Amino acid sequence: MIDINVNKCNGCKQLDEPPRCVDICPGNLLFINQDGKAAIYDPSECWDCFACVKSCPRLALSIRLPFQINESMARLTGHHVNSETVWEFREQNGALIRRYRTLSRGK
Amino acid sequence: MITKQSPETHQADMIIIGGGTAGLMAGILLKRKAPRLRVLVIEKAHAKRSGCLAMGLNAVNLYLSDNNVEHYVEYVKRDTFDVIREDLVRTIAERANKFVPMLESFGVPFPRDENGDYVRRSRRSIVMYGERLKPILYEQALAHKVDILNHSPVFKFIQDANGRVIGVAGFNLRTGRSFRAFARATLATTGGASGIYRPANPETARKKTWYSPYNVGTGLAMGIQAGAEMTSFEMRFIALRTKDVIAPTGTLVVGTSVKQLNARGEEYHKKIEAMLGRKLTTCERLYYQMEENRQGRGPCLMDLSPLDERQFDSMLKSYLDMSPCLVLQLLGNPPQMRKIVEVAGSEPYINGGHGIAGYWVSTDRQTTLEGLYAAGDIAGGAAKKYITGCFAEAEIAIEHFLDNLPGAPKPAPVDTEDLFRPLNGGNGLHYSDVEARLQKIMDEYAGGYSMNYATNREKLLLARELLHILSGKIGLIHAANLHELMRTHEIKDRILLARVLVEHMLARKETRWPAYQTRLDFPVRNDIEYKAFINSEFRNGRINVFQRQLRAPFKKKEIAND
Repeated sequence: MIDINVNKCNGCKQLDEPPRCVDICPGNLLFINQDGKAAIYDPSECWDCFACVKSCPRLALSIRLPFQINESMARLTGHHVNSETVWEFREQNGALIRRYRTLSRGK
Repeated sequence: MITKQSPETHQADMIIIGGGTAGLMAGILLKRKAPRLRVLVIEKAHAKRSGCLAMGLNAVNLYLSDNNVEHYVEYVKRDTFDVIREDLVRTIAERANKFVPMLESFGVPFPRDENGDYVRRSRRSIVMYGERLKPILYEQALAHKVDILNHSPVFKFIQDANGRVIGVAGFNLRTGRSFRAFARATLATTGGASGIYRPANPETARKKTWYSPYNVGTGLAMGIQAGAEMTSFEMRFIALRTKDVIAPTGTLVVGTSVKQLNARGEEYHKKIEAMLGRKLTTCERLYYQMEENRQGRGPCLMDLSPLDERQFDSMLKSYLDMSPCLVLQLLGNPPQMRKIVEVAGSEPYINGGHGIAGYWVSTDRQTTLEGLYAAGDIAGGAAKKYITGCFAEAEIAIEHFLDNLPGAPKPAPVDTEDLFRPLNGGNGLHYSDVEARLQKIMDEYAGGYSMNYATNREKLLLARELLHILSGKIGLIHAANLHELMRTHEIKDRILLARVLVEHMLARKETRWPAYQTRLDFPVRNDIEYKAFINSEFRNGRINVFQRQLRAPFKKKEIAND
């Protein structure tokens, strides 16, 4: 399920276009709430596809598994840096446990 | 807020509904062959990350290194116990390979081995670093001047007086304005359907499905409503995947060291294969995994302990390209459980990319509705298409369209009264209540996950009756906003698909594909009467079911409805 860091999210107000996560969500589940932050209609409608996570310019979004599937409360983020996707696996307390770089664009 | 505005009108030479992997490639191929024609892709979300490959894809599962087309046709035929359209599989296999260098030229990375060849994962599968597959296809579509309407769900085909499909009607999710789009022909690439059965994961994890929960079969339901012939819905596709996060298992098989074991540590499927004297088919791999559980030899596990840390990390990286939640699960597990992955079946889906359920199409991928083509997971009759097969079908449809370029239709008035009704009417019923009811009926009476996928005549007749009652409640759904309006139409579509599915299941009085299609009252395969397709047509509110023979001219045989 999506985890929104409201301290980092600014509703993409700096962009001259719709908020990235709202625009990209394949389930049309995200919106900007009254506080100007990203929010989800219903967290249990989320497929955990990472489309919003990868699109967020402020790295404010991450995915964690529903508690019934995994009790760790750990989070995973992924974002594009040039031709790679950089992934960070963090414990609930924010400690970075693993970082992976995967090639995702060729020449 | 919305209904007062006059509908927007779009015109194109070809409309493609569904901006997933097949739809975007179809647009690109059309513009490459006919740059002056206008092609319009209509997508309900955003084509940059929509459809079943939103997360990416880490392998091309149909790449024939040996170029042996007939060998592939035989393999698929064996896997589906002979009920297969050989013409469709053959035309897919003939073209599949060429899309790999095309994807590579677009910027999707493919690793190479020391000889410069693609890295093989199994006999017909090569490794792809496809996390950005969709964004790259999207960029290519824009670069090829494919027009794309995002956030624009469609809800019905527009037909002329002769039944020819001349366009589609839909609405804009952001503005609420309705639109009509007209074209010489329409290509349906909206994929298969999930969300018809109660999901294997309940409650807060209920959308942790294998197939995208946002692929709800709208393009199929629109076709059924318009009278298109459908095939083989009764062969549901059920994915044998890692339990809970439902990630693919192929990625786990790094070399030959990873084994799939029952609770006694036996490679149970090898034992069964030795007993049968042949390889297990895809549905049997699921069936016999369930058998192990039924016989008290579960859980069935993939044992990753032979992997060293480097191999383990390399496997996790491969999952990041396609199914990152498995990485969350494994790394989130306590250390002693990090290298054990249980396998389990998913909820059933309607799917023509892995299975054979979908539109009945000609070799040219024309549906039985004039002016409408189908390609990818929405087109039936040919299993194991995977990404390259979906591309091949898109290309076949595009070539037929260009060779037989039909005239441009005159825009016709469209009745869109139904479209906005849930916003103004309804009786407080929420779409999610109807979804839960649909999934409960299908799970319990039409062979869902909790029933080991099995059913019988009396249960199916009950499902038919309950779905009929549920259909009558659709008008009570109230949609509070445009998002709920889309969801309301989607649940209506899924109920129709469920009704067709139940009729197909009633009509196949045998068990041809254990687990995918299990009739407890007819537990044996009956080649004499049922080595044929079960097809259907929706006419005047009635679902007519009939058989078609396996080969051209696919002779029709009427059967009595139960």
